[in-house]
Amino acid sequence: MKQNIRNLFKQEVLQKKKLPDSHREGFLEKLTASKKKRKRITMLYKYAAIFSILFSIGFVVTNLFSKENNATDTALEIQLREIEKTYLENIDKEWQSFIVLTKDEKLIKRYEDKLGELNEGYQEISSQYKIDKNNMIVIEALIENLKTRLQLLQDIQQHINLLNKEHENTTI
Amino acid sequence: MFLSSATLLAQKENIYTKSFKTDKNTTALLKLTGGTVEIESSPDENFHVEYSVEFDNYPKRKKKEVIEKVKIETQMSDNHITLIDKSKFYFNSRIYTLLGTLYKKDTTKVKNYNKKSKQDLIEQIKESSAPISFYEEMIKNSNRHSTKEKEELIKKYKSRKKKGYNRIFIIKVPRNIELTIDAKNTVIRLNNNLVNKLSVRLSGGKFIAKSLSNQSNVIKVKNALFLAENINGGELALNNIKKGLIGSINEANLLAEFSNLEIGEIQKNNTFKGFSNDILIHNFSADFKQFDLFLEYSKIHFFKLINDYELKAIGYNTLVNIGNTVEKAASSKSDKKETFFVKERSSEGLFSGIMNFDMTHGFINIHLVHDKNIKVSH
Repeated sequence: MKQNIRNLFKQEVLQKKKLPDSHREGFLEKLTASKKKRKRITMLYKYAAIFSILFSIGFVVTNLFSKENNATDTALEIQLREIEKTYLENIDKEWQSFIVLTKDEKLIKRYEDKLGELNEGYQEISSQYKIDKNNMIVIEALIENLKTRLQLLQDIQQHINLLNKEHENTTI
Repeated sequence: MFLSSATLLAQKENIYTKSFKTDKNTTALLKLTGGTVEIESSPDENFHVEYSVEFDNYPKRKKKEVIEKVKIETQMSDNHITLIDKSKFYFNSRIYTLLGTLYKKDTTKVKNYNKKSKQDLIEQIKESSAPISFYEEMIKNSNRHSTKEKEELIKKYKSRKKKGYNRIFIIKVPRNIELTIDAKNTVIRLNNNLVNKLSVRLSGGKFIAKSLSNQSNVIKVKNALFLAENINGGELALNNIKKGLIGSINEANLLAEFSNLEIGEIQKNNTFKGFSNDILIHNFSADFKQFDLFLEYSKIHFFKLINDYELKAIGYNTLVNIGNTVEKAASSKSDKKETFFVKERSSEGLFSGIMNFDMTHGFINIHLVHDKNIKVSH
């Protein structure tokens, strides 16, 4: 039963199959279709890869910087917010005692306008601060603005009190 | 060798130069935001603009960046010159915003009032207006350091080799042209004795003038430092000036609010109006003729005059202190103005002029000349 395979091939006459006329076109069509599909898949992979790389870089970078900035900015911002809060509370306190101290409506209106004008200035400097949070000059300008408001209210009350005190003394 | 290397270190680069022909009807407008501008009299009939930068040990590659920041736009149409400084020296404009507010109000309860001559005050103005680095100015005005620490810090700063640049922006104006300046956070230096008709509006920064003489001048300055050796004529509106020094003032109308002013000499026919001010006058000229004052919620200080004068004060709720004692008090109950203080002329010696005060809710403090260190508790 043992046979030589080579002899088997020699003996067998292979049937010659005739290929259809459209075989070449069909083959090329299939080939281009498969290429397009593969190209689409490769492009998708490329985009996904780029996206994931960019996302990872972005994540790492923002994380790194935000950690650093958050640490300094937050400390600074908290401090500034505290300063602002303290000043505004004091300004309000001085304002309340000022409107109790004087009955002069014209005077109150003038100070109201002046404080409003200073507040507008403060908003302008605040927008500069938002652009550059580490600029000490801007920060100092913010504080100076608050200080001016407080000083104006303290000065006018001191003026009125001194006037009242001196008048009392001269009457006595 | 040393000289040549020093010359190499400080290099001047001319960035913008332009001249315009003018006649007596020419007008000019300067729009400035940040930086320093020097305005001088022109040597001829032309309007000159010169912008240069002086570099000191500044890296070559960074010079270009500085030069590119300078952007001056000029044009002339219908005999009107317009100059707009669009230079983006972002840091500087912020510095100057702060400079105007650096000077803190003197909050000490006891103030010393020393009489100064007109010349003393002019010297003080010259000293205060000398160009100074921002760092030095910060240190000088800081409350955090003692005088000794301040001196040491400045000495250390001056001895350090510095890298930097200085911008020189000069505008030369012919005598007859009318000049309008609209500026924000800018240092305006008006050199020479300018006789041009000026219209100035400055918010933030510094206003430094040598001598301004024109009856039609209108100068409005707020939230800034104000230094003027001589003001002759025109209107002056000052708002929130924490440090204002005027050497002498003549035939001017001053309107001041929330300001601290010191004046070397009141000359002829001046009118001051204001609200919430502290004004210190050191001297009156021998022929001041008339001085009218309308103040609310303010303090006016002046030193006893050498020559004869007349003073009439009307108003209410105002005190007159002579020396350090309350001499007169206008009623605090009434809101009706009435004469509360009169100083008649003595008809002895030279008569200098008449003072008319209209004061409400204020103080008139007349300091005695012989008191070297007058202390007023406020």
